[in-house]
Amino acid sequence: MAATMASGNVRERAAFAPAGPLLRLDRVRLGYELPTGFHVAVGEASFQLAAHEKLVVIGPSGCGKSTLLKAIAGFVAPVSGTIELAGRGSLRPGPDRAVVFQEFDQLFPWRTVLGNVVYPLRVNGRSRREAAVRARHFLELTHLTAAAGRYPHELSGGMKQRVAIARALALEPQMLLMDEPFGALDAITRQRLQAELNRIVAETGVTLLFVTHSIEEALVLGDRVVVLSEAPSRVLELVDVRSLGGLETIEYSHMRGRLRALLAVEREEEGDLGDGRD
Amino acid sequence: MKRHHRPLLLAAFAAAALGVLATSATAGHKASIPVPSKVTIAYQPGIGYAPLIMLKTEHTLEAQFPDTTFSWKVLSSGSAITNGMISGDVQIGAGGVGPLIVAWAAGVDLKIVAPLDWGDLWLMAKDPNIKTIADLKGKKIAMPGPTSIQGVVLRKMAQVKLGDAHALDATIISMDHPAAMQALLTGQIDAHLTSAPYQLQEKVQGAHVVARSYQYFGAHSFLDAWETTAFYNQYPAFSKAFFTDVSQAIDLINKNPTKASKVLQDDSGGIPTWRQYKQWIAASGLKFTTQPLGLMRFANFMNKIGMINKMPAAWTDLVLPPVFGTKGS
Amino acid sequence: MATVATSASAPRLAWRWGTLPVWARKALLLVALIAVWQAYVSFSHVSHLLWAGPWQTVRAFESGWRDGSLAGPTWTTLKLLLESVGIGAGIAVVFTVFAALSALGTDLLELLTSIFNPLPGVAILPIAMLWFGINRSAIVFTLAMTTIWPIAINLSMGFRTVSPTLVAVGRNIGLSRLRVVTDVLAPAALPHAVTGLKAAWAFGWRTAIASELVFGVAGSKGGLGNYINNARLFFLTPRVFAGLLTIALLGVVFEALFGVAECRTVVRWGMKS
Repeated sequence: MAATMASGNVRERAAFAPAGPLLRLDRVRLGYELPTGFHVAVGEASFQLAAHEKLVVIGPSGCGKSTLLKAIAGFVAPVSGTIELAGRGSLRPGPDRAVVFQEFDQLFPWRTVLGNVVYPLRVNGRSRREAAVRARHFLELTHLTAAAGRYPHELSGGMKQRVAIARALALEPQMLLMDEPFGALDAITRQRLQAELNRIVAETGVTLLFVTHSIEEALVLGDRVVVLSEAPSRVLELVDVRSLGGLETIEYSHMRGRLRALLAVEREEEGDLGDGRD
Repeated sequence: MKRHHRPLLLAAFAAAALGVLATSATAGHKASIPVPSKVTIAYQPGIGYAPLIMLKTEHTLEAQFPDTTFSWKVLSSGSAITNGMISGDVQIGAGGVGPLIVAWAAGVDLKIVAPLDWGDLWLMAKDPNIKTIADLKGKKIAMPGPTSIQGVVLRKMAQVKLGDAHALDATIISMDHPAAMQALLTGQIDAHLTSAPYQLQEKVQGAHVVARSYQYFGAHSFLDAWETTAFYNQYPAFSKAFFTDVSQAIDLINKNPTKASKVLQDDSGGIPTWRQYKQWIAASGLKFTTQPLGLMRFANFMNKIGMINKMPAAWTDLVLPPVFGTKGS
Repeated sequence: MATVATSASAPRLAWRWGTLPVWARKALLLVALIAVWQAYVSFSHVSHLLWAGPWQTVRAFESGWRDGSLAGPTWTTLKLLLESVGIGAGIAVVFTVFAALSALGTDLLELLTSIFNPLPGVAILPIAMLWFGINRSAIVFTLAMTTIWPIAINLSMGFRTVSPTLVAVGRNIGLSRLRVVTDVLAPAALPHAVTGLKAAWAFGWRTAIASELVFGVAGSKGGLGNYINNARLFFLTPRVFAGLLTIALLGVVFEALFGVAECRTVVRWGMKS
């Protein structure tokens, strides 16, 4: 018990990785009902995610990236296509794909920081003692030990998001899904949390699916980046950004320019179409 | 011509002068009695108030005092009437001995201006298993209220039969007589300590008499008409005339019950019939009289059990001057 | 803020009153009102049957508590109310949970609420007495009927306004639908539940006293309303006022109790709306 909990060593966890991709999306089409009719958010998306990998999904607003995350989390069913997690389809919501949302009010206000992390563990069968020990471990991991007895409304935005991360990780999910969790924070806090997230993911070896609209964030956090077009979206490109080096390298700014261009091209094309029609 | 007319003119003048004198005399006579401009008379349901009902139906007071507006009201309990008199809404109220003595002892300015009757009050029950006072413990007994004359009677019954005047206090449910009669006959309450004619109506419809107030107090006064002494002092002649009218109505009831019953039938619009009224007058425990009986007996008992804190020195403390001559007690 | 006043004294007076702490201002006003009350009773020759003065009231209140004649009825009414509000709250919770879990439940709750919420309790009492007899059950029924609807309305409002993110978190960590209701919706709706409970308590209290005044003892030992009514029948006006004072004081006590409960929960969690 203690070994699995405390290790988080990537190489050790790799030994337990399933054969084949952990997550597979095959021609997934997603949409939702609006008063004006059915709106297709994701036209067709196919990609895969291996265990222990960090995949960032990026795209313009309205491109369905959040909807995609919700579908993977099991809140929404695809119109067509399949989503498979370790070979399993028809996903329902569950702690194996723990979600960190963008909103600050994702913590239970009536529980302390510690209580918020303990509670999901108790729900999923851990004993009181086990849950407490686990919770404290992950609070330590996210540098929140001092705040364990405080209530969410006493915390800053950044701290709240860290609690949400600790809560998600404590469940030992197969995947950590994060939906623009740092979007409402100021730039400095965002940078700090991005660095912390990288550290935590490295220590725990958790598989990460991260949604954002920020190119910089994608490059800092991701192993691979999926670029979506505008709705009804499709995968424009899938790039590997693992071997880019630091922020000051040429490869980095090259990639950044490429991504910008991809996302800008969409907008330009639309503009051209408009001119062309006229 | 002139000679023939002169005696005629003189006669006309004389007649006119006499007429003026006469009217001025009577007008002056009327003007010398202070008369209230508005009088509200309030009483409760029951034929014990028959003398008042007769005055109302025959418009006796209206004819006697044409400058006064009379208004007649039926209220549901003695305490409602005393409250009306305190607030000035009611000038002449009628009710049982209980509320009068409680009010008098609390310093309310009420006294009897015209007694109406004596009345035997029966405790009626429908359930054949309720045979004695002791059977009533823990049950529900309806009556106008804890300060009504029935309330005092119940406590007397409790004291004599159970040794504790307050043993049945928790059984009292405040209800006016018509509602309580309905409740008794439909089984919602266990007993009804009531008065004429309800007790007779209930007997006819299957209830039985468990006890009677005469068994515990002897014959006693039941209902009286009241005034505040302030009102009496302002209108003594009016009040005395009222007392006389009530006496005459009572005489009529006693001497010619048929005629009196027909008047009562008029008041209630034909239902019940005058025969019914006549039977009730005869057999439901009432005796109409202006002589108050047993006032001190009641006051003594009420003082002993703590219902009142002040004792009248004599029965005359509770009545106004017109009643002094009736040799009451 | 302070405008240039025409007279020199006006702004000075306002400044003096406003700078006193709130509790002191209210205390001073209270003392002034009591003084006016006492003066009215002492100097206006109003009948002692109509008005009791503050000193008489306090004396009647104190002796009533000392000899237990006030304590018994107060406890009787409180017990009645606690029982009835408990039953009403229980039924309201069942309705609301049912409504949270199904559309049929929502429709049923909304329909019943619009029919029964406007009915004042004292209006239901005569019918209740026909159905249950002239006894305590009739009053408990009436009071429960008065308390169900404010609680249900507020609780279901609370359920409906729970942040959808919290519900999503609940589902994400693996809670069943029922557990989402009990573990997420219920605590999230606590501020609304407290509001509903406060309203239900206020309605219930008023209905209980009014019912006792109108219908007397009705089989039980007799509560505070009955105490006041009895005092009125025997012209013991200081006792009537003492009964009213008891009601007012109890109101203050329960306000404070609710406040403490809120402090420990809703306020501590930063949820006070």
